Amino acid sequence: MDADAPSVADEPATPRHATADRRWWDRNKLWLLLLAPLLALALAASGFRFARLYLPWNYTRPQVTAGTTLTFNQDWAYQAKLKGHRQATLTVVSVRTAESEDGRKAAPGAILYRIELEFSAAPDVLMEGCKVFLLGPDGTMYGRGSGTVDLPGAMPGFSLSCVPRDAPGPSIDAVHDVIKTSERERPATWRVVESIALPEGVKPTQVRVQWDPPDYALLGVGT
Amino acid sequence: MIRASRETLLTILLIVAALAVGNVITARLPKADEVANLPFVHTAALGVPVTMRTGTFAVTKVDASPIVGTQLDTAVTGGLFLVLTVDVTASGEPLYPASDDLRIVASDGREFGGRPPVREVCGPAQPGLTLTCMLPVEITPDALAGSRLRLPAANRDIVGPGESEYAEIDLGISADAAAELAGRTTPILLAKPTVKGK
Repeated sequence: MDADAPSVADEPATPRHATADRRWWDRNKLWLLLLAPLLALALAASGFRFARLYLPWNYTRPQVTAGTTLTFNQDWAYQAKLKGHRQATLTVVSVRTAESEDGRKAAPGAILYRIELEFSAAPDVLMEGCKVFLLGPDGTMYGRGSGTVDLPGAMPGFSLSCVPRDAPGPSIDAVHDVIKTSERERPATWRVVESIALPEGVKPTQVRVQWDPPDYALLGVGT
Repeated sequence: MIRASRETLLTILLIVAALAVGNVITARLPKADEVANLPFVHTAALGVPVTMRTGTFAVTKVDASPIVGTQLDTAVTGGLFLVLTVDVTASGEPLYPASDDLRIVASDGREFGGRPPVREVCGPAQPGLTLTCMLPVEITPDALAGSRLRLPAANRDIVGPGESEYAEIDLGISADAAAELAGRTTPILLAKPTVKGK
């Protein structure tokens, strides 16, 4: 009698745990499909710590040329109220050492470099508020306002003029949150001069020009 | 019956023991947040340069006076202004040292610092060129002995977590030195930041 009745040993060879898994997959199919999207949502929800990594608040997108001319393109936004596009051709005219520039000379142990740039942009493009740096061979950034000594009796400029003083073109009126233009139309092309002191023995290899983050321009210093 | 209940009892005891051991272990292990928020502290003494990610810093001199001034302005305190002479060599990019965020920490834990009533803005320090600044901190004379400077690597960002790397510099002020500093009355003129020649 027992030999005729089917027993556990005669059943087809599916191990018990495999049968149980398959049933578990089936039972929980919906939640398994949702698992990946829910994990992604959980990661995103705890990502506020990394806001500075994914928001465009740092200078992370270089536009590079080994030469001395670059057409620079970026979108800019002023808080959430004003937006625009900036397209300009930047040219490094010369990077030379200088005894003094704009009422300043190099401090002991430093050498003053005079950087002459040419900017070319349509008259309605916002070009104010630029910053110019020199980069050393190891990528170290050198900026203005440091390593210099005021010449006696001189009145050095406070900040870099990125646009012609008498015809600056559009600028942001921070009181009324609008863009206002200058009376005189800005010329299509103009020159900008910056002076930066580098430690003796460091030769500049690149010029960096930037306005709003995250884009910035890197150009060669030329010969 | 007896066998089943003995097994059950053993299982229960094992589970309780495992939970107890697990509880002790998790209570003693550091939590993820605590570890993630541990600061990077560099300890040093007066005169010894400290290198942080933003540059190298050294406190070269400590002076004190109740009167401190610049060419434009003067401040007088009922306590004392501790004036630190600091050499800053930035690395990588120009740096404004954290002169408002630094703190003088007394041996009992009191902290002194913040925007001083007069100052010569220290910076920007150019990489490779050492900038010497005089930084005043208003303090009470009884906090001088055994105090140390806690200097953050950079100013606090407007948005984002606080600075987590800083230098703890022992100013080497003994009780006698503290009494001597507290007795100084000569007004101190804060020099403009100057680049140290070679």
